[in-house]
Amino acid sequence: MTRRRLLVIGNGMAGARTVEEIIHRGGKEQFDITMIGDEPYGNYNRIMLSHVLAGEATIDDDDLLLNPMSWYRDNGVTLYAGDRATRLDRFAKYVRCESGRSVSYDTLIIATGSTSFFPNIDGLRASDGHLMKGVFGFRNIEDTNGMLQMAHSRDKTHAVVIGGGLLGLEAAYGLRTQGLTVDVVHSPSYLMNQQLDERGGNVLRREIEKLGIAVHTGARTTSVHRDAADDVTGVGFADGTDLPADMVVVTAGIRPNTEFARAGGVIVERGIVVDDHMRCEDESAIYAVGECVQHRGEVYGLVAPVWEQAVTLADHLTGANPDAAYHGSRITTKLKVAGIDVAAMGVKGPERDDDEFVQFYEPSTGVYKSVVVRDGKLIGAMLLGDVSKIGYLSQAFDDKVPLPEERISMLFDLGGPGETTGAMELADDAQVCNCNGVTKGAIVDCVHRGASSLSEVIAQTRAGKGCGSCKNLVGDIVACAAGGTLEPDPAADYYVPCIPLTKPQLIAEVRDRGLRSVSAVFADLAVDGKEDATAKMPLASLLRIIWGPDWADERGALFINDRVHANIQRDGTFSVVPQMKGGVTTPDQLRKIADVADKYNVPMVKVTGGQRIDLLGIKKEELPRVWEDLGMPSGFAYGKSMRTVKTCVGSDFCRYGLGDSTALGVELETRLQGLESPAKLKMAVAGCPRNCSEALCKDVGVVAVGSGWEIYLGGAAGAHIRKGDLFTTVETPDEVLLLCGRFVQYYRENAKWLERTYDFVPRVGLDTLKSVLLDDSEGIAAELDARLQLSVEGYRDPWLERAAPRSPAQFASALPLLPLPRVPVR
Amino acid sequence: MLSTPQFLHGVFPFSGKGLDKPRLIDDSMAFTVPSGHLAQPLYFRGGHTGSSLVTVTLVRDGTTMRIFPMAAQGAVNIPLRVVEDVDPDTRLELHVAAPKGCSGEVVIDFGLVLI
Ligand SMILES: Cc1cc2nc3c(=O)[nH]c(=O)nc-3n(C[C@H](O)[C@H](O)[C@H](O)COP(=O)(O)OP(=O)(O)OC[C@H]3O[C@@H](n4cnc5c(N)ncnc54)[C@H](O)[C@@H]3O)c2cc1C
Ligand code: SF4
Ligand code: SF4
Repeated sequence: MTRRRLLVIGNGMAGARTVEEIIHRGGKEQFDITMIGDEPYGNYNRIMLSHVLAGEATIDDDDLLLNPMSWYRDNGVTLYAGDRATRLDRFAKYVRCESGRSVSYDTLIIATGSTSFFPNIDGLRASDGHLMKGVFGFRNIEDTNGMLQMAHSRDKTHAVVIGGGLLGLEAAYGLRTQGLTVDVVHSPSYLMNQQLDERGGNVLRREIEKLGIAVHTGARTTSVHRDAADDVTGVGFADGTDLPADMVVVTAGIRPNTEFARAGGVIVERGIVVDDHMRCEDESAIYAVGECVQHRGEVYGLVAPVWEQAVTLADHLTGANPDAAYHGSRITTKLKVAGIDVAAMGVKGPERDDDEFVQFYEPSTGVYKSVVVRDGKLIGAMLLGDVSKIGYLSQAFDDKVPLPEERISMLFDLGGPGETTGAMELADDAQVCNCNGVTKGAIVDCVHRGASSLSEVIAQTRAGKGCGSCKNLVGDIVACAAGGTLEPDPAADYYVPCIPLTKPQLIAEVRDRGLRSVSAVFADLAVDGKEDATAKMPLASLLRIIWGPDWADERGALFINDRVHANIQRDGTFSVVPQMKGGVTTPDQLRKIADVADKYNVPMVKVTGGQRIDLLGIKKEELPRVWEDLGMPSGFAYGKSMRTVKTCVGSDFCRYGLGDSTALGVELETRLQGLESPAKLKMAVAGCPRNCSEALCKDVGVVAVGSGWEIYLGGAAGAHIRKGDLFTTVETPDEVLLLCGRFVQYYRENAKWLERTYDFVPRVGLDTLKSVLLDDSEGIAAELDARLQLSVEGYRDPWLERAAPRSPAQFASALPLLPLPRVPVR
Repeated sequence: MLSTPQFLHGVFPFSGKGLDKPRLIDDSMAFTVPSGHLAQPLYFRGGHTGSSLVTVTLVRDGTTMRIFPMAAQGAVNIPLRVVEDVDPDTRLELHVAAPKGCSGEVVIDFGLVLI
């Protein structure tokens, strides 16, 4: 049977989940799946953006990403990320993209989600319709990073958030956590009026105000004030008053993203109109899921319905369940808003004379609860501050359990069954984690299949990895299912799971026993001497940290980048980045690079963010010759190692320079070049606090302040943004070299595998770092310095391997590893 | 776009020979699908000025595909959900039929796409 071509537009939570469900039902045999998403990443959990904005240190890329790029590869799904579907030709069954690509299909799924709604307010948009600077929505990674950048761009930033619903409060909370002054402006008379009644809204308001966020209700924003440079200076209201502001975040609602569908002739009302199979009206081959759809007149703005729709559509398309039909969702909202638990379902209050209404209102503790009962059935409930009864209430709401005679016991445990029994009584198909659509049954299953700790269950099911409001319940269910035999998770501290030792213990053992190869480590230390594939790379890295060049190199333990000392790119070619210490180069070097680029027809020559030159598109087998012709050392653009030290011009040429940042950067890079580390390390030196080399957001940043040099640790400006912590101020460049080196060595010996300094520094704590590295409270400073010195002396340029490859196949061409589109040549 | 829209339209006189005797409305109301293309009828819009029921028939290579009855002096607008593609070199025609003695003008707007 030939496989049908399935095309999915939109790589968000609905699109990707539908594909997951389809694959789960054996859909790989039936469909060739292609996805087009205009965001340049794999699929991520939008809900986590609130946590990213609040700078929660526990959030890593792994938590944010639901499906990384490798997932698409592993499942044979072709993903065109960073491209936008612009035209739909439903007669010819093909879709044209912004890039000019066209893709044809047999079955199309539209999952374009929604976009932030920007009301008509003066000063929000420029005349060409673009958002003006200082104005943000809150929808995707780009919005979030934009807000973070703006928040950190100067001191004392004042943000005004327009809209006091779920998103607005999350945005306000995040920005407040980042240290900004925040006002929330909401035109209805109380907060979250969609979900809460007036009492609930008022309790919430008090809690929000306790966080130091000012709340203005009943205030309609009519304009954004700007100065001559077009910077935001404030917002104005309908009643003529105004508020000062440096940035404005608009969270005034969302609108289904239906342009693509509408332009293609698909029927759209408020959303794309679909039937119970999620099929578009009057279409045979076009379906839609997620926030972009309108089903029986309803448009949803939360994920729970998205999961239900995805399941129905997958059942229908794969034929797994021919009776599958979506009948709409009764939404039980369970959220953590600005750190406050909120749950709501059904109607907000009594509507008829004989509706029963039980209410509990305790503003001082921030607790509000209410239930509405009609004809013996629960038709509405609202919980704020204490949501322990949510499991029971959502079941009662779904008619799965009878209501108690004593209605008040729906709100409180009155000597009745406690929370844990609640977990036990929950029906198997009750959804526990709304954010990730995980039922109690799935969690219990996971435990029965052998997961023995909460963290394992969370890793396997994703339950509790969203807003976090269900974590307790997940814990209870896991505990129930495991029959109370659950153990605390000692493995959380192990460097690699198969060896029950923490990193410092492991280093000590390896040194004592003189273990120099990964296989020797496994044989001596792993449980039952068993090898574990995922442990190989971290162990190889550790051995190189301990033994420098004297480790026993077993190539199988290395990632392709480390085997060939170059960065693999998405089309299977490599990029070559020669060393350019401190970003300083010479005409001679430039000429050589240009010659090499010509000689090997390098499709793209690019200046990198780390002030080096990147030659992209080199074939694997050509790498040794390219290095030879360049005759320069490796710039380590590929490794989990010290990569680059970015510098500004500094005192030699810059009018403001207070210190010779270039010279110090070059020296720093020379000393630390190529040092193996748990994750990549990027540094910068700036000649004055103007910070042209962006030293404040580097793993290690050095800034000349006139009287000496400030050293910052743990900064980042990638998927995470964090301003480095001021570690110390020293007088001479030599001290900078000493202390930066000491920190790097400490980081190498103590950080978890792949733990960037932006996680490591807050985890260990700045105070600890200061006391250990500056005051030598543990008496290890000299040892750290000595061990670093050994590594420094052991530096060897890996590109010299070109003369004698480690194995005959090292630089031989292999089948392209990644069946992804070729990098466009510009 | 890979698909191109095509329209057959115009206003034509007719005079009835019996509802069971349809005939080509006009030479311009026939369309042969060019080779290398598929056609999909999209909609039929039509009306007439006659004083009793009139039908327009969509004919494919001599066989009836769809029939559109229109009441006296009535008009219809019918979306033709694409059920099957019309192959290359196929001839599509629009025929009209009216009871004996009924005559008038028929207004046709027939839309299809070529792929
Ligand atoms: C900050 C934030 C917090 C949230 N918190 C919660 C919460 O606590 N609880 C809850 O239930 N819900 C929450 N939500 C809502 C939840 O994220 C959405 O319900 C969910 O993401 C909807 O999934 P979707 O796939 O329909 O849309 P999306 O996830 O938005 O995915 C649509 C994707 O399609 C892409 N796209 C659009 N048009 C095109 C095109 N023409 N071509 C290619 N790609 C296109 C978009 O860029 C996007 O990547 C939150 C949302 C945000 C923004
Ligand atoms: S950081 Fe200071 S010294 Fe360096 S280039 Fe900028 S202004 Fe000049
Ligand atoms: S270079 Fe970095 S930021 Fe740019 S696409 Fe690659 S991973 Fe993303």
